[in-house]
Amino acid sequence: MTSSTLFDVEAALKRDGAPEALAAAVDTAFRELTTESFARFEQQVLRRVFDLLLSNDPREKLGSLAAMDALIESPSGAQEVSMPYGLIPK
Amino acid sequence: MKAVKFANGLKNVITASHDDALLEAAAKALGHLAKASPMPTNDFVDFELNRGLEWLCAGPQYGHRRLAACLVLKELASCKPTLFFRIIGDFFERIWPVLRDARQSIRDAAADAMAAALQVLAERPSPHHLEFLFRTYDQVSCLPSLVSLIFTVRYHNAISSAQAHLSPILPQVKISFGGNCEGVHASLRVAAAMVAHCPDFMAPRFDYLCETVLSVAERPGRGGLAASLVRATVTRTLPVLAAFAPDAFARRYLRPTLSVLTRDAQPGEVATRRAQALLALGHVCRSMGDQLLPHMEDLVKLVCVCAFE
Repeated sequence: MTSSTLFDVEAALKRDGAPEALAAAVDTAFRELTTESFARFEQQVLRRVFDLLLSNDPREKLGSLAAMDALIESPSGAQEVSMPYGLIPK
Repeated sequence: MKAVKFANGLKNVITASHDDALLEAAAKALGHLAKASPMPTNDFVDFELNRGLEWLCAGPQYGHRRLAACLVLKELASCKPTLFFRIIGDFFERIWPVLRDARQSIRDAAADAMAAALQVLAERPSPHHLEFLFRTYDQVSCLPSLVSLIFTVRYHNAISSAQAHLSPILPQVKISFGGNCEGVHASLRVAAAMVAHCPDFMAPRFDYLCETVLSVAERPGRGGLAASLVRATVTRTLPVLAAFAPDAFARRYLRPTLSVLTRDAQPGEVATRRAQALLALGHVCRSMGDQLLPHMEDLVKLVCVCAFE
């Protein structure tokens, strides 16, 4: 389930409406996976998003920003905490 | 934790990026994060507001910082108006040099930020805010004046026809012309924002504004990107004025407005200008209603020509 969902995510990022598709995929995974599996899945998605952000290709950076924008309101496996801005390790 | 990671990622993009599209996307995501994040966001919103104010003071050579500041402040004014309101005095102090920037994208972003700030003021009516509105209106009036624009346009046209004889002074005049057009462009954008967000304040100044905009429209100048930009901005501003006070507009300014817009929509004009003019005509027509009946025949002819050519 996790690997196929990730494949879907990767395919979705290549076409129009990809950010919305990514958010929908994360929502589906949140409903269908166990808490631990979803946390691992989310971690992989976020790692992929931040890899795109660090890319030298501006299109990939734009894709990463669009993905972040779409994922802001998606459910998260990790507990949200308030930390002093700029202190979170990368 | 996800929100904090996103906030850091966006901060890094805004700090390091020189690309307009990236800055715009990052600012949009930052605004969304500030509005919708499940964790308290005041910490990073305060940081971004202060950095935005600091970067508004950046010199013209740091255009990306000016642009980033305008985009971020606009998003935060829309998404976190209460926190933005705390810095609104500093914002109105520092935005003017950016509105006169040489780059159109920066001026547009600054005008959008100004519109968002005026919206914040409009949502918090208070007599104390008149100070900001008067200051803004004074600055709009102080930007390179209409008279100097018309003079320079005429001068520029005269020089174009006698270029060979006057070539030594041409560069100097072109710079002056460009500077004026940038100021007029910014003035028109801010004036349109004031009409949209401060109707009570702008009502007594409506006639002056209409006359000024139409004066610019009737003397568009020839050639040059800056003159085209002014024409396009006038075309976008006229429907805003028509919608603001339809009856008053119809009594005195409808005929010259239709004259300007139909001129720009004629088949001989540039395609983009025609498209803008036709779109503006449509918006003006929707605002005018019955007042449009005497002009109906000419307008229908124009639309037929444009639709079936």
